[in-house]
Amino acid sequence: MKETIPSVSQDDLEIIKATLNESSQAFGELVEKYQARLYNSIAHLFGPRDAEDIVQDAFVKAFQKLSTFRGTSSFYTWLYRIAFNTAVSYQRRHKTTTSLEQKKEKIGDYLPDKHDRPDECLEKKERAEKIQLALYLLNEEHQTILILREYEEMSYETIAEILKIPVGTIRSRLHRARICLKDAINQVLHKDFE
Amino acid sequence: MDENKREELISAYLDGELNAAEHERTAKWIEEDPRAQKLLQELQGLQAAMRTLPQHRLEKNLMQPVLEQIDPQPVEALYSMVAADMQSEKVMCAMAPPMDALVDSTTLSETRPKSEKQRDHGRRRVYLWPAVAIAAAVLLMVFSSREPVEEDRSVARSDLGAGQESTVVEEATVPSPNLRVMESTLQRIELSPAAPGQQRSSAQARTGGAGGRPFAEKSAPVTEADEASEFNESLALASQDSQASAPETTQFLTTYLFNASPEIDIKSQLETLSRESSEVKVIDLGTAPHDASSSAVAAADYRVFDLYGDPEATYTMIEALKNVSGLTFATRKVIRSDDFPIKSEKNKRAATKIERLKKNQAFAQPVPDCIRLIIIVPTSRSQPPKR
Repeated sequence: MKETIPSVSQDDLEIIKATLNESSQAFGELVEKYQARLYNSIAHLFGPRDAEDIVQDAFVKAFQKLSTFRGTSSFYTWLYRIAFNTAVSYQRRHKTTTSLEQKKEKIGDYLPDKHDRPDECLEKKERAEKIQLALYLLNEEHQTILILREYEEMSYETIAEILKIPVGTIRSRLHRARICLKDAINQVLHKDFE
Repeated sequence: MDENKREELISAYLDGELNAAEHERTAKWIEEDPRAQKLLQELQGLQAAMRTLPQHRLEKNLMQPVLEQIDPQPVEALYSMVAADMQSEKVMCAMAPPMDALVDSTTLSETRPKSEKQRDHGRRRVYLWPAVAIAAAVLLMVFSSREPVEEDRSVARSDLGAGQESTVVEEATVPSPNLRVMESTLQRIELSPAAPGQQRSSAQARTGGAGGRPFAEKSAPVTEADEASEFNESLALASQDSQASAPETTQFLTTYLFNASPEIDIKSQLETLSRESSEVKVIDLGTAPHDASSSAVAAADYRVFDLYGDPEATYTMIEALKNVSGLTFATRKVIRSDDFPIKSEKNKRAATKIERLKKNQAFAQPVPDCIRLIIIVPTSRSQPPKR
């Protein structure tokens, strides 16, 4: 069924209140809590080279705007929006484009399942890397929406809010992105992917 | 419905993003149509595949860099220092790196003619209070540790200008009108805008040059340099001098201390800030007259920027300064003035000193509803004090 934008968790709310009322040091807890997840996602979207700077910048901006956080979405969603906008303007400012070759160099680490045998692990790792490459073959629009939905598991409404497009567009764009990804995976694997 | 739109429904079905009617219709279609089933399986496969994407690991913890950026020198750490050493402000000031080149005198926001400003007197009044002696007094208050003096004597560390409307106050520390103060062993402050009407509700809230006891009575006594002590007494005398014709009005002056590091261009920062708060003025009150032999921080000279403004403007300034990189919100002092009788020969000497200062520097009228903001910038290299 249709999800709604998650509201802020009680834990986060308390940290936010503490930050606003007592000390900026409390904000460190939010950084600790979300930095890895945010970095991973931003690195997928914009490349790991700049992701660290973008994420750090996003946290600083979030702190500066914290008093405007209304708690109608989760803190992470709000933070993500800031990070996404920061990354977009960062890219615009630095006019960075990344070639596929560069992208190949910056594929992340496969996290093996502890139950996998070594040969299974290797196979899965190769497969994960190929999926990553296939993702890189897509245009940015499709990459972004797939990461937000499949990786961040955000609702259509949240994605619409981050990308500033209507929810109906999310549905159609996401479907097109999936079909394109399927084709790209076929291209990378040289066989049907099912 | 065309084929693409129908397929989109399967995608949204997979995501649980259909409304009840669509969900029911799509579920039925999938059940009946093998092509729809195949597409659903493919999409499920893609979804699973996407979730196995390699992870990008963050190689360093960003907490510290973020905190340093938002709060260059954590307030908690400073307060810890306050707890650890009652000469905390010596420590804090000494911690700030030296700054050799800095503006000598800065008066900002002088864009409107004086006469025009005076017309605004009742609405928002800001005056320049160019009292070098006061700055010196504040510095001594800052740099000198609390001493176990009798009540009236410690109270009498007053601002000279304030003495003109002097004062007997019940409480040692009273928050400025638009600041909510949390008192504890480690003094902390929470800034919040004044509630409407709150500012005028208390007679005690009328700030203006007030005298002071910068350190509350709480802590253990610390030895104080003679000169500092003498100077404090001299300030007390000055306060008393000016009380003679003063109305019985309680006056308060809240002092905020910031440390500045040399990387920031404090002049331009303050200009920028004061453009937003057009009636905040800044004055460089010069170098603190320290005796090199009297304390560990004496080797350093400091420039003091003394800002005067009404509470609203100063609040804006404080809030802005808190976010300025390289500037540390060190502490705040709530200062009061009080009655202080001349008791000793030492005080007489101090009175003489004050008189000499008075000749050199005219004392302005105290500023109603005024909060004071002081920025201390080291101007020469010094070793951190031994603790």
